[in-house]
Amino acid sequence: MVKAPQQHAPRTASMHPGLGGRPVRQRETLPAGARTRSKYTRLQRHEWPYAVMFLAPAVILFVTFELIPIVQGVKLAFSSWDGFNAPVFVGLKNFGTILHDPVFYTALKNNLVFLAATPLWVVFPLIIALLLQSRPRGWRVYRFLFMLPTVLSAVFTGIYFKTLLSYDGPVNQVLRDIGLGNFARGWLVEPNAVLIILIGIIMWSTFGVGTLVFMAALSNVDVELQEAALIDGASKIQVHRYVTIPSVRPTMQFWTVNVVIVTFTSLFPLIYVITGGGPGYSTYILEFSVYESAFSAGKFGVASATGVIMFVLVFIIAIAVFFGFKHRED
Amino acid sequence: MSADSSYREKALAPRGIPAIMTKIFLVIVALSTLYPFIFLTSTALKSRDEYASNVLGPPEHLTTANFDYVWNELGVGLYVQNTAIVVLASVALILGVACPAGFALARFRFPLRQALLITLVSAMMIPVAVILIPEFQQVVNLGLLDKRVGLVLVYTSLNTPFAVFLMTAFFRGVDNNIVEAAYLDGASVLRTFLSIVVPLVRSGILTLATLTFISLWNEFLLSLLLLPSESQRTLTVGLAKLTSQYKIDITLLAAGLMVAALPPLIAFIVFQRFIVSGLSEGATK
Repeated sequence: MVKAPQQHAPRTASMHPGLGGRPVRQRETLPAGARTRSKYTRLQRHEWPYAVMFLAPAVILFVTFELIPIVQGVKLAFSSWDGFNAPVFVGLKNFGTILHDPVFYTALKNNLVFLAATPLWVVFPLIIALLLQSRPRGWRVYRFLFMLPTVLSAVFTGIYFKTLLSYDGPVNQVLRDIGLGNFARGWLVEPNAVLIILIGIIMWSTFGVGTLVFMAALSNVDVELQEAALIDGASKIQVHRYVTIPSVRPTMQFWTVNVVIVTFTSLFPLIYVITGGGPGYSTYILEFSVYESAFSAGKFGVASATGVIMFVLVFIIAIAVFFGFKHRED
Repeated sequence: MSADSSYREKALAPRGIPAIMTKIFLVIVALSTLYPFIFLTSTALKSRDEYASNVLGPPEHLTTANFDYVWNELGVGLYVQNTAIVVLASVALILGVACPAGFALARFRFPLRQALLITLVSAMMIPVAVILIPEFQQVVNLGLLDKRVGLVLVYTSLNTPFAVFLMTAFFRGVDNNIVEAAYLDGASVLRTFLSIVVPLVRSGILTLATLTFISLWNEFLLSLLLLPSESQRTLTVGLAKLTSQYKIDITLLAAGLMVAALPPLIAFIVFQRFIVSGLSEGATK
């Protein structure tokens, strides 16, 4: 397909949060001189009822099963409830309980450890995407295979690695067979090893999607700029450092924010299956304490309060990361 | 590929030793993603006794008894049924709700538009743990506990923000002139939407459907909470319970896991190209 010479449509404010405004590409099917698409039209008279009708189901479901529970949850955070009797308003008592609980701080520390691993979870897919960018033989196969872990459930991944890394499992057996028996250990039961192993497992589970996203971003890097740099004598590393990486900054920002949110919202099932929070409390993250407060201790108020704290944390960190990218101009 | 991109790709490709190292690295990573399937399929096809002596090698006496046993005796057949009903219904409902909403948000300019979008984005950031307990309360209040319908509604509601967000992005790519032309030709809004606009975002819809299917099929926490009884249980919960209940032997577990992993895998393979193009489009918008 012959590409028309690069013609960017007049910059319309692309509203896609996380990516910033980007020039909208002309669709290849339109003639080069087509007039600007109007982004939105004022609601015409005959369209009104449809706008309402189209939005209604989404809004109703959202309000019933998300908004109301959220409001209830926040209310519950300021109450004491055991699940049977009526909730009792207790003000900030739950938050006080939480902030005086050493387990809370352990859980928080563990969450922060995973947060600190975020750069790893962003850079690794980027590197893979860069390696695949030069389209080595079979790159489509690689891309497919790298996405496979994302298709698996947390239960599957958890049980798989639990089996693999158990004391009598395949990994240790291989180590013993090749004479490195000293290295054989209970990978998942040693507090120091287990966090690192988990970070690796999480990376394995998630890098496929990141690779895909970065590959897409990389193929949109300005070819002319890269070629100009090459012609000017830049080495491959230099081209990447000064042209390619800066060009994919917005995508890196988007993906980092995404990973950060995942760190606080989606790690629980996997960790629950693999270690159950242990050994001891070494992999106990905040979500565990929500569960335990609610279902073991019967303190639903405290559980909700923990949840509120978690949300506030995610929000602040996500915003911080988002703006952290914006101001880091080289 | 035009001549431009081949030059860049060839020029930036690693040569010599780095090239070999790159190849090796990619192969190792690829093998690591493939291995679970190899290991668990081979384990599932072994008898318990054979596994005891032969952990790593291929099965010497193939047996499908494990699959049979988990499906019938251990209830996996039932779990598959429950999961299929819940997930397929949810995906259908999500599409039915998110497409019109996305279209409305993409096309119409109305007072609350911005507020709605911001609410959607924030809703996507809420950890499930936060919402779990009041969600449970709400479901109980509506008399929907332990009913698959209840889980379907919850799944739909919680996935709506992301789905609407995605569909809005896809619908934005539709040229408004086409819609206007349809109106001029006398088509109603509904007709335009269904017959003209929706087919244009077909690949986006398929992407959303596939991704949602996979993620709901693998969902654990909510189905654990909202479908407590054995007869309504879904796959992920069922398998997790099997692990902890009694020292279930790994060959049976492997069989169960492979059965559970098959539908998302097939869905992914079949709709792979849509996901790739869908995600690529989304990342560049």
